[in-house]
Amino acid sequence: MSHLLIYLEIGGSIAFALIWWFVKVQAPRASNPYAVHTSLAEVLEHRPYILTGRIFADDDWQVARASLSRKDQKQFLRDRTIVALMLLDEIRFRAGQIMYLHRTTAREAVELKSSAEMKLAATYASLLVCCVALQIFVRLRGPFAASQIAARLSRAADNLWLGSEAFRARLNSMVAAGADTTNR
Amino acid sequence: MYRAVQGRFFFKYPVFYSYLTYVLLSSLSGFAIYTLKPAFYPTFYWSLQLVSVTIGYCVIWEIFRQVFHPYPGAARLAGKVLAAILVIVLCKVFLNASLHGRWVAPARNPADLERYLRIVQAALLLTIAWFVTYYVIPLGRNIKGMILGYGLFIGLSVIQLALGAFLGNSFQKIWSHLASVSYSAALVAWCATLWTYQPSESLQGETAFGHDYERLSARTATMLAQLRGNLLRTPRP
Repeated sequence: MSHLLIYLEIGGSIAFALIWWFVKVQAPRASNPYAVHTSLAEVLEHRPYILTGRIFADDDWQVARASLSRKDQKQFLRDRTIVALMLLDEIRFRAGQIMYLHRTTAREAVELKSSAEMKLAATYASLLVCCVALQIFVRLRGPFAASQIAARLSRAADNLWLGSEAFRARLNSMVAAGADTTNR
Repeated sequence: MYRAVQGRFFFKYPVFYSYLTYVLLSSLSGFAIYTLKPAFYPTFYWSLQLVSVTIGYCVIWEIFRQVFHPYPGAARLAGKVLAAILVIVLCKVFLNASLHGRWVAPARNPADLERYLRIVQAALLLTIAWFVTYYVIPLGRNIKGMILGYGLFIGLSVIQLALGAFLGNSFQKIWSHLASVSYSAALVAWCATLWTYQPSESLQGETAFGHDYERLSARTATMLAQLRGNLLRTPRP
């Protein structure tokens, strides 16, 4: 009976997923929010956000705590939280735009490389995950406490990245060694 | 089919309309066999179904060709993933066959075999749909409808075949009705979306990097790394 349920679930999921896809997938020009900037140059013009560090920096909070009244401190924290969340939204949107423009250009490139595409997709996904994690943390603990989780996320992402690069390098060397042996 | 002939787009989607023609002819011949020689009908039905599944794979190939024709980059990547799915399935079939010694019949009965083949078709179709979404490929109403109709048919067929296999004879009475439900759902979707010829429009992408993929991917990677670095590196306490 459990097998029957699995197959019923598979069949239902296939039908549901394709109906959802049919309804959701739209003409890219009209509805995709990332298609607002149609020029790649326009997106590349935007400089990275030097403001990010400032928003999470603890110094401002130390100054506010020393010089402001309790009520103003609360107001300061509220404002900073709103700005931090908006900034994280903006970074997500900007990353989405970069990837959108990359995909709409790369889809026509004959020399497209699957390894490069997967690497870019993984970088984009990790960036989104970091943004969402930070947004959750900012909502829960405020922007200044979020700086600690950001540091941990950074270390985790770096370790993961180094690990995957090392694995890829080892895989490449194994493949190269295999090809070498075959040639001999 | 009548609309396709009238609108002169029958040969724009040759495999798809050949499939519909095949289904029409096989249904008519099936009805004749069922009336004249009922004992021969089950063998006849399952043979036709296996041919139908095989033509179904050709329909998926036509959908793939129509969708990715103007986008060789996306076609290359999607083709690799679809090939990988087929290789994995073949490996599993051979592994099962060698473990259980079932080289002649890969499934217990034709219904099981059809169900497995339909699930593989669904995986291929969903992969195509995923790549369409990921690479923001603009689709015409005709192709979208083909994918939806065939996907609905596959999904409902899997349910129907599973119920048939697990519930046995008690299910035989409603089997025929369910079969017509799945095919009717597909026909409704195809009728609505293939009433007139609406092909996919080919959009040209950004030209700032021309077709220099290396430069484009390097620039995208740098931009993402800058965003990520800015987000995570600066706030270290």
